[in-house]
Amino acid sequence: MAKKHTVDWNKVDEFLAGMETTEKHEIEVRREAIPIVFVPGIMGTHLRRPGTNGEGEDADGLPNLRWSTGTGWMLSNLIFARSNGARRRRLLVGTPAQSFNPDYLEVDEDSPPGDGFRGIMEDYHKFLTLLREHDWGPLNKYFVLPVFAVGYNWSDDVKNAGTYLARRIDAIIEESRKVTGLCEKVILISHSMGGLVTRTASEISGAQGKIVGIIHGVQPVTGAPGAYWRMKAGFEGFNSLGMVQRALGNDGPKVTAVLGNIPGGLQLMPNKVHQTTNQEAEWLTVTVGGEAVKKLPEKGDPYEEIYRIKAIVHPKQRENPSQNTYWGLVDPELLNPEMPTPEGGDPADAMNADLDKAWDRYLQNLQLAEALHDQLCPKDQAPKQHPQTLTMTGIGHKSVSVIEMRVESNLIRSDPYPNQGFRGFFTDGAGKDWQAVLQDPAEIGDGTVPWSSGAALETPKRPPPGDVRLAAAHQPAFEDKKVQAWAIEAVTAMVKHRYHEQRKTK
Amino acid sequence: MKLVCWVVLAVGLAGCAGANKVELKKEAIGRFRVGVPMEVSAASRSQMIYGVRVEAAPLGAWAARMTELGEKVVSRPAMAAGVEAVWYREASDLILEARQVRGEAEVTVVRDAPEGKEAVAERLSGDVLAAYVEGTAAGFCIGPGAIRKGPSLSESVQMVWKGAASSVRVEFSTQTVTSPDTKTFMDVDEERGFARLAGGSLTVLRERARTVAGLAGREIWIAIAIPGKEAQVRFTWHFAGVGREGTKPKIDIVGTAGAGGQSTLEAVWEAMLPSIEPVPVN
Repeated sequence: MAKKHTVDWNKVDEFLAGMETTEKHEIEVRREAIPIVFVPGIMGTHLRRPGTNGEGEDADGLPNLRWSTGTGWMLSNLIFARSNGARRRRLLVGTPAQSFNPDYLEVDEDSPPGDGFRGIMEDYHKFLTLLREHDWGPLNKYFVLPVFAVGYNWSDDVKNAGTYLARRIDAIIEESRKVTGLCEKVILISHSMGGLVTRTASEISGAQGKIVGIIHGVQPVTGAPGAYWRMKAGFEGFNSLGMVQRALGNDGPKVTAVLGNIPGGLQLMPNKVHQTTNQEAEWLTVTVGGEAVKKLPEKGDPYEEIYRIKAIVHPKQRENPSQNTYWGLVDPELLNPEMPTPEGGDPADAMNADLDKAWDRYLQNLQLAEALHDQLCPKDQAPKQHPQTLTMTGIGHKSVSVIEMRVESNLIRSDPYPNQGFRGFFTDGAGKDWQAVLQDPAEIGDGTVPWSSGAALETPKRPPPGDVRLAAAHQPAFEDKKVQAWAIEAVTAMVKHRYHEQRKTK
Repeated sequence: MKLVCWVVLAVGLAGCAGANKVELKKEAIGRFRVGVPMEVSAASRSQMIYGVRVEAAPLGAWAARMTELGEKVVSRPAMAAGVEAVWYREASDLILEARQVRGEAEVTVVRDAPEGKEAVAERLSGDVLAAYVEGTAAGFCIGPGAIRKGPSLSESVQMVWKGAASSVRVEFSTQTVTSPDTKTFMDVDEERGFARLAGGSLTVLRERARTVAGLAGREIWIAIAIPGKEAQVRFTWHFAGVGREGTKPKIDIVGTAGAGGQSTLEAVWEAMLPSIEPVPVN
């Protein structure tokens, strides 16, 4: 009768070398599980109120499922409800008196989460199914590649999302080890904001040693001026936007009421090392007759020069020239739409306004964004990334690399926040009215992230398939066949790397 | 005290040749009184005045709430006689919750405050609580009673009714505005874009000016069909509001139903809208 052995795939040679040859042996080679873990972009995870199963409504008539990309949910809660900024804020942040609370929402997933597919946008499922059903050929001899998804609370600080992902990586490894007996590391695939989350898990939350490598798609590595554009003017201003991206709102008030109140939204803004496609640090301009009369950030700090500046969109009366800083990121009036300023009210209205801390809260959220940006992309250093990284940058779609506000004469002062637009009003020294009109995107990228940011992790001499730039739109990037083919090659490259790492070969 | 009163009104139903008797339950919410047909019943309601959330809860609710808050409570401030209050922490928020038994209800107020501004929150919440009177003849109505104060620049209400035997859902909400809201429910462009993206279609069933409670608003009825989903109808009536005028907030009435519930929704809608009337301030 044969003596039975179970041997890890990478120890077979060693085992055979020391084997007794006078006996019959039966060896079962244990394959290594390398879970492929997909991490979605902002808005790509379904969120619910904790303590609920995501069904039904709360006392305010709001759904316990607070964010879903399902057509039915969007129809009921965003489109049919024609949600304005106040309702959107209530859905994702809380009542007007509530500030951002990281525990306000959680991922709507099963307990335990299983493969995690339920918690993420359905549009991703096709790509994940493709990965799951892919025949990995000779790699199957040594490895099994189960596919998981990890959704996260995208309204929260990316640092918390990174910590959450690191914990899930541990759990997925543990679970996979129970099945195959051998699992030490995962491969991460990220979409958009998921890139920041995966880099945080790897480089800040201590998970680097449990990751074979990270495959990033359309990541705003140094941020996206498009996020500024949308805060001022709303979504839908670009081509190639899917339903999900449109869902945050088609004007500045709707978008600011949400993104201005959540650290996760602010972490998509350009950071201190962001450069335009022309390799310039100034990405915000005010132009007159084609000439830039203002270029920001002048000192390389968008936080001090743009984000912490209150956007005052109308000039003060009789102040000529007016000093109002309409280019600031956030109009304080839009942060908490149900808490207006107290002019014209009574003493109780003044007390209410005194208690409103929307701007202070915004500054606190901004501080979280700055801290993350400084850690992931420190000034005068290369951006932090996992040693085994591959990146895909989307091109071929008009994107914002430089924000241009073009000064035009203004006879009738109208709405500063039309749908998909923004106008900042000001007066010159003679008291004449002008408006600075936000221009449409005109540069190369994926429709959201300009290539200069998407490609900021590119590194020479990566192993095949290498870092690539493909004609792909931002939101549906992983639905694109070219991107899917590249991602499969990238996974193959990562698994081969793992093979050589274990066999100590090159 | 009986919390609701019932009246029978003659209401002409849409599509009917004559007038049918429809039993309406009168519900006072915020600055308005609404007649609600029997086909639907209240599913949720909330009110806010001066940024203070206020509600009339059944007796015993406070005790249950205190058990729920447990160790989150950080202090128990002394407010007016008969008022029980706690400050508690929810993440980084410091929140005041206070209640007073008034008649057959526990009137509860909730307000958060930045550190150091606790006294302001206590004064504001105390003022709101003190302004409560039983009955809904006037004021900002919260169920069995009303806050006789204001109007404020920060008022909002929201109430939802649902059909017991149908997919009908009606939401009535008001919100004070700094300038008129001329975007919400004023057109169907966004809805049409969504339907197109989802591979479906949208039909406008009705679009017209309509005056409700003496306020000139816009009424739009649409039907939307998305492949793989049940067809839906949505009726809206929107009043844009008058900037910084508490008695003329933005008002949205939204009725939805699956296509099979359209006739019920029409009946409910045509009973409710004509019944809406303002509640006097004082």
